[in-house]
Amino acid sequence: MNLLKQLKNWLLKRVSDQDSAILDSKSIYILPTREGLIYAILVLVILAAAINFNNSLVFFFAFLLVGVGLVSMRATQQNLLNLQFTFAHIKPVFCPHPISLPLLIEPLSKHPLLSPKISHYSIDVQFSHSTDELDLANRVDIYCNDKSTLALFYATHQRGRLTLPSITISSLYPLGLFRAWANIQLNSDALVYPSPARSFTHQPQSGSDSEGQGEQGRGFDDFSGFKNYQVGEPLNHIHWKAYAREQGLLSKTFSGANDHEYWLNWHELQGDIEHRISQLCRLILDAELQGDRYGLILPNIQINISQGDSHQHHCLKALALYQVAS
Amino acid sequence: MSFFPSLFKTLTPLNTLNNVYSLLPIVLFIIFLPHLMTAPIVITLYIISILAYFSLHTFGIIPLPGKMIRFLLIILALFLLVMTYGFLFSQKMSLSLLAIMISLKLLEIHNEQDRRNIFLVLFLGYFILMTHFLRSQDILLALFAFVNSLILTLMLSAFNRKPQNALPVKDSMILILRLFIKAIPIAIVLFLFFPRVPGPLWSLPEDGQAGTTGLSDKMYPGSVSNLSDSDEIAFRVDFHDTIPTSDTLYWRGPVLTQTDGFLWSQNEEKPLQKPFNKIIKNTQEAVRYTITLEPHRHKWLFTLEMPIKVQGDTIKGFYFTQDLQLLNQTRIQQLTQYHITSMTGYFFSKMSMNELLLARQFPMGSNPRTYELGQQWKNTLIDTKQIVLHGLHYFKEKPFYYTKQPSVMLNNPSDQFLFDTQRGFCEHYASSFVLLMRAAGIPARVVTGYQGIEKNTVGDYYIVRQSNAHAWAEVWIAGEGWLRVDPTGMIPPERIEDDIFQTNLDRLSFSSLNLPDLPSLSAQQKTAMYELYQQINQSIDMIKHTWNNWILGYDTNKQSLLLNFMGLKANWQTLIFLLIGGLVFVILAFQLISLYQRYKNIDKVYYYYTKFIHKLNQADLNIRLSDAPEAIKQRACEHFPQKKIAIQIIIDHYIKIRYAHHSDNQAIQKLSQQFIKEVKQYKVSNKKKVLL
Repeated sequence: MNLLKQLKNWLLKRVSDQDSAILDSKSIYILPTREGLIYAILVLVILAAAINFNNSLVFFFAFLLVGVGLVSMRATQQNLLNLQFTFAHIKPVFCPHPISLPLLIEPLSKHPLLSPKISHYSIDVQFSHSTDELDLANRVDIYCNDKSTLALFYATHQRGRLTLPSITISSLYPLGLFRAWANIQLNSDALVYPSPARSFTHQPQSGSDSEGQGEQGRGFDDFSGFKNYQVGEPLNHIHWKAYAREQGLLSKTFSGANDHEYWLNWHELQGDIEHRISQLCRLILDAELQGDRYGLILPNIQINISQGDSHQHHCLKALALYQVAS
Repeated sequence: MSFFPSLFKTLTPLNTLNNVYSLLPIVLFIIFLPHLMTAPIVITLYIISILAYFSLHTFGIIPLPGKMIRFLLIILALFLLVMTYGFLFSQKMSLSLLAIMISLKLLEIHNEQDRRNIFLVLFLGYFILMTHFLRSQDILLALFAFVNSLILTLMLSAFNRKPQNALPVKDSMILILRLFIKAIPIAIVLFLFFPRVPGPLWSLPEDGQAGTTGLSDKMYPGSVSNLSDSDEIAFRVDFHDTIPTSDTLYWRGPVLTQTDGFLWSQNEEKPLQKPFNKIIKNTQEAVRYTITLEPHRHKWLFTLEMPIKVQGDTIKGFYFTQDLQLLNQTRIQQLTQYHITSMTGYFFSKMSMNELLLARQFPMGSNPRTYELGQQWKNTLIDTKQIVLHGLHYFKEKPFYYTKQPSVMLNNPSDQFLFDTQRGFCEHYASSFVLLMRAAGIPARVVTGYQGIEKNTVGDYYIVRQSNAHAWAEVWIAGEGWLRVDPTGMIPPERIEDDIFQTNLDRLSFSSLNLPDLPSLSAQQKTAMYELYQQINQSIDMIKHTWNNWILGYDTNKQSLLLNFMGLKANWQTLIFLLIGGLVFVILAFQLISLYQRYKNIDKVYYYYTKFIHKLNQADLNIRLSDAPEAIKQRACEHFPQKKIAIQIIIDHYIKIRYAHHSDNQAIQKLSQQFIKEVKQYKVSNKKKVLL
């Protein structure tokens, strides 16, 4: 057992722990598959026949199969070599939902001048410790000069930063006689929001004492006119038809149906930490949906009143990371 | 079209391999083909129907049979096998069994993801390809097997892909071809240096002798003349130095001593007790040669009379019988090569009494007139030698004709031939002569084999065909031993009928080409065409012979020849060294080739551009490759004011090559060369400054 642990440690040592991982020959392992062993037995039987009957053609045939086996071993290794793996931006999810992890796979060359990129076929991507059968949906082809994205799904159980297990990249290609694999450990900004509580009524205290520079009456509900687009405004407010008419980027303005502005305060809620957090989560979602302006108050943390996607993310992130039990 | 829409849907994208599954039975069918063509018709039908059933299944038309039906199919297969082959275990039977088992295994494959069964079937496909070589080692068959192993490997690779994610056939084919191109040098190294063990360890279960033409161990009137029309090659000969004279070209085969007056057969095979060279004394120079014998399913190893040294990998366990036949321990089932030294002038010192007794027996009651004539000679002539000579001259003086088509002789054929028809082929002459000698009290026997050779002018070797089959006689003369006597040779040329010439001398005559006899062609043109035809024929045979000689006949002998040629000792240590060394060499060669290819594909201009920037950076200039060339120029000029002009020229040229619009390809090449030269000439001079 101890030996197994040591072996595991030794294996994990080779796992890279960076934003991106490039598979080099040191990190790739290769072993014959069960089919490969049967193939070896087949070749031995043919060789035995050749020796017995002194049949030159059978000799050559056996040796050709030996050669094909050896070359396919190299080809299998090369099929993984110089592949770069990176996580693209990972969209946060609310807790019990599986998170989708977009894995960017790109063929790379160490020396851009000397080694041309090659296509890689049938690469299997799998979480290392998963016991499931190999999912053929996670088998990708990566063509030279082309990035591929593969969405991996991972179940979430807890809010906070998601630590991903190592990923096993493997390939049987071309002949299935050998399996080459490598374990990679990638950093990611995967974030799991707390799970929102059920809707409940809550009268938050008004936030009239905010900075208040927000123009009153600007909301997203009723269209009121156009103004020049400013960087940072939501893209779906752009008046694309006007842009197509080459009138420049105009942004639609809306008059908000409400001008509510308030603080969502931790201290106004009851229950344990998780309960309060999931309640706050619900309140933030509702507020954003209604077009309210809101701020968040957590013990030691205060997020000023504002609105919009990034504000919502800001608040939810604060909730997700608040006193994470680790 | 609308009956089976699914069928047409699956058939259309043949340029992409997304339906490998349904290709499986087709590939298997092709692989089985050489076997199916020789297997009994019921077995062939059985296999084909199972393959057809499976391919219908792959198109989604019918489901796979259940366990019960599969069990019944196995029972049916066993029944068919026993019905056609009996309980005898033979090579053909085992091949049929294997093919049937593979086809039945197909029915257990449920879908594309059933890796275990699919791979097993494909691997057994390789095995089937191998078994074809046990029967024939033809070049075309080798090509067939090679192409099929490519296809099998393609299938293997296709099953390692996501089923929906089809790889275009062309791309996969290129990939597999590359794999094979790399595998071939490895195979060649292994082939050349893998230690060979002489002799088979165990032999194939034997097949019936059907389907081969050639000499048999029985002779009766008409049995040899049957062969005279056959163009088939009995064996090919490479003489190492001298070519013996035509009167000594007797290739010894079966020796026939026992007879009932009609049928001649061999004595019981008794191995010769004494060493062969004690019995044969040689007088004339040795002939060294190599024979490449086509499989004839008997044990005879044909040699020029008389062999004194025999050597060969595939013929281990050969021996001489008491009547001096050279026999292999097992039947010759595949192409066999052996190296012989023969003495064309020879005599025997001793012979066992038993042999002589057997060679004296005249079958009681048969051929009475022949017996009478022999007795008459015995009484009138004193000397054994005189009787033999008289017997030979008898054929010359009486009106005997040599013909390929003698009349059928069933009763006392010797009497009929000698006194009634007087027209016969060599077996008539030989058997009658031997009977005459025996009647006269002289031990005699019939020897069959081949006589003569045909030169292949293209390849400089000799061919002996079945039409060269011949029968002659041996008589025992006290003090001199066995003496070869060929009564056929006594017939004067004018009494040899035309048909003999037609077969032996003009076998490939123009008229036999089945070409329309064009009247417009002159005789000269016809001869030229005939010669061309012969040249082509000989070239084809030469390729076959080279193939036989160097690929099929590569054995310990040739291996040590190769090692000696390389200046190495032929032993297993050398072989292992060469094996490892050869493989390392192959791997290094691959690396070098790929490096060279990369180097060839380098963008030279860009490469020298990076070199130039590296040179600039040696004086901590810290320029990045991604910087704009103009910016680099500016910074470099500021840094190296004394080299301003050189730098300006280089960068300007680079910009011109890369970014300017070009219509003249030659000009840009010239400019590129100039650019490379300039970069090379640019020296980093300020190192000295730093040092100072």
